[in-house]
Amino acid sequence: MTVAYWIGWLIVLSIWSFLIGGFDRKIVARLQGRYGPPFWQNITDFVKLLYKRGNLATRTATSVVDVALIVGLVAGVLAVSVLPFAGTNGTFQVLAFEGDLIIFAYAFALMALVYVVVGFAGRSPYTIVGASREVSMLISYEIPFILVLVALGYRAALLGGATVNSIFSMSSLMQAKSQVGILVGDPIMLGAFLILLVLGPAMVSAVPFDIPEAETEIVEGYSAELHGPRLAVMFALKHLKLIAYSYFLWSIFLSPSGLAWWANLLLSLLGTLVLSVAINTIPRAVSGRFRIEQGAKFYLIGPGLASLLLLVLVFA
Amino acid sequence: MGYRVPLGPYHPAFEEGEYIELELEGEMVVDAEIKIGFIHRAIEKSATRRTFIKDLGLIERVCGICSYHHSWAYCLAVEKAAGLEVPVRAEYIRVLTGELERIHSHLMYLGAMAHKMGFDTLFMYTWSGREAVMDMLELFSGNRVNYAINTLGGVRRDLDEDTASQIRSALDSLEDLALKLKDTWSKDASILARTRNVGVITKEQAHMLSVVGPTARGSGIHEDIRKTAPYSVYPDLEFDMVVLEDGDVWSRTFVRVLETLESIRIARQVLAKIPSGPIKNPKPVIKIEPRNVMSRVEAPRGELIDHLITDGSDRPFRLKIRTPTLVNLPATEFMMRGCKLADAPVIVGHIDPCMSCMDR
Repeated sequence: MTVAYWIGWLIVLSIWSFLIGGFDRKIVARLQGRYGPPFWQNITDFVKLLYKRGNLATRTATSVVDVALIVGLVAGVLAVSVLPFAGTNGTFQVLAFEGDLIIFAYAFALMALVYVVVGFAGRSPYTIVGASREVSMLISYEIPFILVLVALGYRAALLGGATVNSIFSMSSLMQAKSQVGILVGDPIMLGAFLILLVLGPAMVSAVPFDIPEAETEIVEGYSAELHGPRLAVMFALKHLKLIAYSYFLWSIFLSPSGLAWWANLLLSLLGTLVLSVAINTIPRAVSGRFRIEQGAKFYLIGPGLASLLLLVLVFA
Repeated sequence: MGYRVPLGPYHPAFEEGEYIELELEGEMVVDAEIKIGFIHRAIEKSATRRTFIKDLGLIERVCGICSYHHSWAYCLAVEKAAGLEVPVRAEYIRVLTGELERIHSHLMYLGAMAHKMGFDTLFMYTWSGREAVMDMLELFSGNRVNYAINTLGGVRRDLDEDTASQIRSALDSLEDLALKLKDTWSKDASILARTRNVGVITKEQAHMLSVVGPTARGSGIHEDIRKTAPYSVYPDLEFDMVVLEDGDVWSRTFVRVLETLESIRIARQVLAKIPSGPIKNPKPVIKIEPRNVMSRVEAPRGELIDHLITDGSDRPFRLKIRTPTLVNLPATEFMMRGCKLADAPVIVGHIDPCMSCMDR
């Protein structure tokens, strides 16, 4: 039964991720004074790409690209699978064990690494530059991300009365949530939430930190050589990343507990939409793109120092 | 170890065909080489096969953005060679059209620059506001792009009071837009991060590279043909030459924001001062005695020179068009050296290159 619920959630979240992408395009268009495409446009784009020919340049290491894309999809599903979903009896996780929070972080880093591998396997100047930029960005936002997760887990263990051994466990976060209500009510948790929100645009490759893609510089960077079904998988992977990160923020920090499953489902969809607008749509609408060294410096100095401070506060 | 990255001939940052080969070390541009000639249409040679009046339509199609200034420079050259007087009212109409074209060209440029930096909202708003001036050009001339307003010895369409009042109200909305752009371009963090201290050249280097127009004025050079070698009725109009000293991409871009405001000021004066009278010298231009003349106008991108040689026939013996991009573009090779890869499209784009003009 749990597996059936999980598959149902995966399908709902996958479709919702494309619809969120469509809403993103619509909202940005309206903010820019345009009409914009219909909100289901990303689903039709995805289907259309699946039907197109996917020939790659002869220099491209095709098998490496294919394996990387499959690994990326698996990592995306893994990232979603360790998150707590709404069920008839509270929440459930398909993959629940000590250290599942680490699996979430690892799956996210793996998805970014897939971009890097696809870029280097593309063997075009644009894809290689895109891949090397992704590596720089990955280092700059992964360090604060991991530090915040450590602070988050430790604080949750303190709040929920769990042992230090389970600081990287979703269940201890859920336990803390049941004690506090909504997690952002706690100042440390609020700090962690705000840092994760600032990390959002880089995690989901949104302007001003879409530097590894930078259409007007390196022509979509690491994915410049992809066509047809492979580009469709990359397209789906980006949407999966956006929904996984938005759902992570929603389910851990903001979702209320004790609701009926259908209310939880509706609120989750609405919450992920609002969060994805905050981390993806708004930054894209109000800012230009930074250079790679500016982006990397921003994350290492801003969220980097803030996450260190948070860690000190948690352990103090 | 270095590697090479091609930008173009077809690239999302550029509207036209141009090829730039960058030699990089990491993200640092070590060397840049620009190759031109992708849009060559043999316009100068074709001009020698047509009569003087038929050449007007051809010359206007050198460029889709500063088309009017090309026809103006050509008219000035032919009128000089033929000794043809232009009525004062026609001169005012020419200046009005020229300044409206400068406004639309600068607004198009500012939008394109925002797009190159990934700031698409600013790009959309700038181009949306630009529609006001495009509408006025269409209302006045009947065309949005190639206005066909010039003719040898004057202009082809008169300006009535109703059109003038619509242009006045459009100028108000354009002024609002230009002031908002002034505010955004001087305060927005992402714009300043991408343009400040990028592509820096000193005034001496700008002189050495022979840059013209806003590219020169943004590098501290006091050079504007409307002021330094006045033509038409510009001496009767009050406006400031906008010069900024910083010499970076931001200052050369900001010059255009301020020049848009100056163009609005000039257009308002034209509408207030335009005298009544004929709009065209009725004397036809058929054959011109052997002459060797040059004309210069301040096009939106800088000094535009037409060199006309006549041989007594009804068509040019030789016509040479020296466009501002031809002198500004090689300077970007110099500006790109030592910059980052991300700066390269911004540096090339910030001179407002027009490959169609340059390749002719």
